[in-house]
Amino acid sequence: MDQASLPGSILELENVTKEFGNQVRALNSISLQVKLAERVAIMGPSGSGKSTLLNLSCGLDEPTTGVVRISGAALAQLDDDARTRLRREKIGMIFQTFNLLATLTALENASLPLRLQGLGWREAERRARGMLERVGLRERLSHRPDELSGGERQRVAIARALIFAPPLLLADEPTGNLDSATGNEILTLLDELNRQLGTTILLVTHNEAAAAHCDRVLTLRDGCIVKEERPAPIS
Amino acid sequence: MWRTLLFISLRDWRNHHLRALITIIGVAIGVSTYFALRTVNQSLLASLAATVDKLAGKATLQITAGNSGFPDTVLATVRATPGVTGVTSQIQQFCRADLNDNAWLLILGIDPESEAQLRGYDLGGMAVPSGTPLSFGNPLAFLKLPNTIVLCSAFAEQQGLHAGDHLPVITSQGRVELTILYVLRDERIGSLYGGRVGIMDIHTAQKAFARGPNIDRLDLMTGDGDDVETVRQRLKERLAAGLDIERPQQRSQQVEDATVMVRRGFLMTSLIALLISSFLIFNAMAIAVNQRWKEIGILRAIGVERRRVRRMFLYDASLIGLIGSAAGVIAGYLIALGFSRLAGQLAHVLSVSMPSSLLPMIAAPEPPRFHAGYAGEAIALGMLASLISAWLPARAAARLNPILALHNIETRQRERVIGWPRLALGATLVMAGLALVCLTTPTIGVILQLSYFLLIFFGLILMLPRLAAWMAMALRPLANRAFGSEGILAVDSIILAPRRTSATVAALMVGLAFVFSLWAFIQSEKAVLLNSFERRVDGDLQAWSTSAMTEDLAAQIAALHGIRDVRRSLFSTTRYSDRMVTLIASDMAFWFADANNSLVTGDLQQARELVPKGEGVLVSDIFAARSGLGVGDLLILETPTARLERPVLGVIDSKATAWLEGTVYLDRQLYKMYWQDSRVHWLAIDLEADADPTVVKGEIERATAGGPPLFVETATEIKRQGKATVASNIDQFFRFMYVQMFIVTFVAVIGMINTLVISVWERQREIGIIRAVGGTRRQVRKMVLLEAAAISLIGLVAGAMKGGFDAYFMSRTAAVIFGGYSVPFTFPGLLVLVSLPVLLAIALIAAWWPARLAANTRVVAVIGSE
Repeated sequence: MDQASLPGSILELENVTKEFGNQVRALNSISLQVKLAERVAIMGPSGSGKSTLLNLSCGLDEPTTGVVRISGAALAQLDDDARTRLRREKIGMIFQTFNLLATLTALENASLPLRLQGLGWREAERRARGMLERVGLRERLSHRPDELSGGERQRVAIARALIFAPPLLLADEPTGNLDSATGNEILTLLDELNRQLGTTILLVTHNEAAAAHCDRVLTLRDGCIVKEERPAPIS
Repeated sequence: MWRTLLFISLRDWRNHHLRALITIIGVAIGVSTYFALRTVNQSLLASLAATVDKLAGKATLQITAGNSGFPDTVLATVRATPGVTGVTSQIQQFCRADLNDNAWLLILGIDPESEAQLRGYDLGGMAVPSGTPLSFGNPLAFLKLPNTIVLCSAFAEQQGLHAGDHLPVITSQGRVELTILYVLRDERIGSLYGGRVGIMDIHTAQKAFARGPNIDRLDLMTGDGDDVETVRQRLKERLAAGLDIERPQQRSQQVEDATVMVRRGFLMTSLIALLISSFLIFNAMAIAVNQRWKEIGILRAIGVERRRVRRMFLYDASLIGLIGSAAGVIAGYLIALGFSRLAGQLAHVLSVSMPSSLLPMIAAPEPPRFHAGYAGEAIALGMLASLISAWLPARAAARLNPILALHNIETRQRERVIGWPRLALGATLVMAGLALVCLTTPTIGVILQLSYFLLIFFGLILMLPRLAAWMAMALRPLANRAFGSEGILAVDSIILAPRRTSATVAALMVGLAFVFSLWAFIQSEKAVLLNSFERRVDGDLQAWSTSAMTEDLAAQIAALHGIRDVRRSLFSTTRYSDRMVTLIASDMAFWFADANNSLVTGDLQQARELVPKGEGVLVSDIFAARSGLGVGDLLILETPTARLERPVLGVIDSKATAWLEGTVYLDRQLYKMYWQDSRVHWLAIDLEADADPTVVKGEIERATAGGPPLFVETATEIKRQGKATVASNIDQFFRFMYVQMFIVTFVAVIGMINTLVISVWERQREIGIIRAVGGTRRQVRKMVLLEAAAISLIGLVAGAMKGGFDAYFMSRTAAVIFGGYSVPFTFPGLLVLVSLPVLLAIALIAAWWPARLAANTRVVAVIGSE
C-alpha cells in the first residue's frame, strides 16, 4: 500500500490535473477521497470534467500531474496491464450508453467479467443468472441488447458491473438515457446493492434527483470542485 | 480467457456473417490457387517420372549423352563390365509420316534381341513377356526384316492403319514405305508422345535417319547380387566422362530439373495469388476492427489487456485462415481435377523447357492425386497469410483508446493518411530499388537481385495510402462535374478512408502489375529474339529436311552450278556444368567468310584463323553470361568419346538459338571427331554473284528429288517465315505465363468484389444516414458503382506504375538471372490502355451486388441500433 493512502479510502485523487494538449485543462488540481461503501455523486455542467474524473479514477486515462490511488495502489506506478487487471478485479463500470456487447445475450453479457477472470462457464452463468434475477431480468436472460428496452439494458449493465462484487462502482450518467420512472428504479436498485454488498459508488450525473441518492455531492466547474454537499437521506 | 475472447469473436461472426464469409472466401481463393497449381505440377511430374519408370522396365541403369547420342562401340565395353547381366540399345527419332496430315511420329529404334531380355510387349493380343528369347516364336524377331515397323494402336487407329498396311515416312534417305508388322496395344509405350509411336529395328532406324553408328540410350540390367552403385562406378571408370550413367530414377530427376523454370513460374503465380488474398484478409480484418470498435472499448474497460485484445483478433484470423484454407484445399483439388483436362497442353508447355533427349518422356499426365502434404502446406500458408495480414489490424485494435472507443460512432477519429515519414521511406525504398536495378551488375547474386524487387514492392505499399488519396483528390473535380453529388460522395469515401481503399488498390496493383510486367517482358523478349534471328540468317539460300541429311547429300548440293559454298550445320545438346547447352557444329570457315557474322567480343582475326581448325570455339553471349566464361577462358566439355578442352576465342550474339542456356559453336570436323556424328540438319548456301536464287532453288529441288524432301528457302523467305515461327515458339513458351496472367487477374477481380461488399457492409450506417437525409436508392446505388469505378481507376494507375517498375526489373535483372541476358525496357502502355475499359466494366459488374445491398439498406435498423 502507498504510504500516502488514507485508511478506509478506496479511491483517492491527490492534486490531480488533466490537460488535453496545451489549451484544454479538464481537471485542475483536484483532491478527493472516497471511503468504502460511500456513495458520492459528481455533478456539473457539460465540459466541467466529470467524465475525465471518472476515466482517471478507473485508470483508463492518466493524469497530467497528481496521483490517483485505488485501494492504496497508485495507478501511475502500474503498467497498462496491471491497471487493466485492477479494473477487472476491483472496479465495476456503468455507462450512459450501456455499452453491452451487441452480439451476446443478457446472460452472456452479465457473466463476461467472471469469464474474463477465469471462472468456468457454468459457474459464471449460474452467478450471472442470480444477479440478473436480482435486477429483475429473470425472463430476459437469453435476449440480446437490441431486444431489450433502455431500462433493461441498463439493468444488464449493472448486473455485469456488480457480478464480481467489486469494491468500487463507477457510474457515468446511468440514468441519462432513461425515462424518469425507469431512472428511479435503477437508482433504487443501486441503493439496494450498496446496502447489501457494501459497494462504493462514484456516480457522475446531471440529475439532481439522482445525486440525492448519494451520501455526498460534489459539484465540478471548469475542472475544479466548487461545492460539496451532504443531501438529506431519502426516506 | 482465450476461450471467452474466441467465443466473442464467433458471436461477432454470427452478426457479421457476410464479412466472415467473404474473408473466408478471400483466404480460400489464395489457398485454392496455391494448392491447385501445386497439385497439377506434382501430378505432371509424377506422371513423367512414372513414364520413365515404365520405360525402364527391368533396367537398373541407363546411359545417355545429350541429343547427339554416342557411338555403339560403347556397347561392347558395357557388356564386358562385371555386374552387367543384360544391355539393350535404343535410338529415339522424330519423323514425319507422309500421310494427309504429315503427322509427326516418334520412332523408337530397338534391338529386338536384347530388348526382349528387359521388357515385355503386348503385340495386338500376343503378349510377349520380358525375357522371351528372340526365337521364331517371338514376334519381335520379325522387326529384323527390312523396312518393318510396329505401330502403337493410338496412331494406327487415328490414321486408319492395320497390320500389313504400308506406312510412308520421311527419312534421311528419302520417302520410305514401312510395312506395319503389328499394332501395339501397350500401355507403357502407348503413354508416350500421345501414342504416336512406332518401333523399328535399331539398325534399320540408324540407317534411315543417318545416325551412323550412334545410339541414344543404353538400358542395363545388373545381377541380383551386384550393387547397382558399384556397377555404375565400374562403368564410369571404363567409359568417357561425357556419358551420363544414371539410375532410371535419376532420369526422373532430370525431368524435374528441366521443368524447374515452369514450376517456379507456377509457384510464383500461386504466391502472388496468396499475396493478393493477404491484402483482402488485411482489409477484412481492418474493417472488423472498425466494426468492433466499441466492443474493443468495452472489453478494455472491463479489464481485458491490450495483448489479449490483439490475440482475440489473431485467434479470429487463425480460425478464418483454417476454415478458408480447408475450403481452399477442397476447391483447389477440384480446380486441379478440372485443370487435368488441359494437362496434355501443360505437358507440352513443360516439354518446351526440356532438352530434346527427354522429349520422348512426355507422357499423358494422369489425373491429379490428393497430396496430404501439400494440403498441410497450403493450410499452413493460408493460416500464416491470415495471421500476417491480421497483425496490423490486431495491433491497431490493441492500441485503440478505450475512452474514444466507448463513445458513439460519430466520435471516431478520422482515418489518418499515412504520414510523411512513411511516404518518404516508401519513396526512398522505391528509388533505392530502381537505382540498384540500374547500377548493379548481373553477377552480384540472385538473392541480392531479388531484393531489389522487394524494395520496390514494400516502398510502393508504404506509399500507397497517400498515393490513393492523392489520386482520389485528383479525380474529385472530374467526379463532381460528371456525376454531381454521388460522384463527390464516392470519391470522398476513398479520400476519407485511404487505408481501406489502399488494401483493395494494393490487391489490384499486385495483380495488374504482374500482368503488365510479364506482358512487357514477353514483348521485349520477342523483339530481341526476332531482331537477333533476323541478323543470324546467313547465306543466300537455306535448306533443311524433317529428318537429318547426310554429308553426301550436302556434297551433292554443293556441286551444283551457281553455288559458291555450302555451310553444313548440326544442332545438338551437351552437358555443361549440369546444364544442357546447345551445340552448333558448322563449317566455321564459311561462317567467318560471311561479312554479316561478327563477334561481340574477341579478336575476329584470331578466331577466323583458329576456330575452323578446331583450335578454339565460339560461345553465345547467353552462354558467356550464364557460365561466366569469356574470351581466353578454357571451355571443357565431356563428350561421348573424350574430354574436349578448347579456348573460347569469341562471343557472338545469338539469342535466337537455344536462348535458355546458351550455345557453343564449334567446327564441324571437331564435333565429328568427339561425338562421332556426321549428320547435317541445316545448310546455309552462298551463291555465285551472278546466280539467281530462285533458279538455283529449283535446281536443288530437282537434284534432290529422289532423296528426303528438302525445304529450300531464300534468305528473304526464311526471314519472313522464320520470324513467324520464332514468334510462335516464343508465344508457345510463354503460354504458361498467359495462364498465370489469367489466374492472377481472376483472383484480383474476385478480390475487388470481396472488398466492395465488405466496404458497403462497413458503411451501412453512413449509407443509412445518407438515405435518412434524403438520398434515394438510385443515388446510393450510383455512389457505390462510382466508388468501384474510382477504385479500379486508382488500382489501374498503381498497377501501371508498379508494372512499369517491375518490367524494368525484369528486363534489366530477372532476364539476366533466368535467361542470361538483359532485354530493352518496354512500358506496357498499350495493355494499360486496353485494360482501362475492361477493368472499368469488371469493376461495375463487381459492384452491382454491393450497390444493390447498399441501396436496400434498412435505414432505421442501421442508424438506430446499438
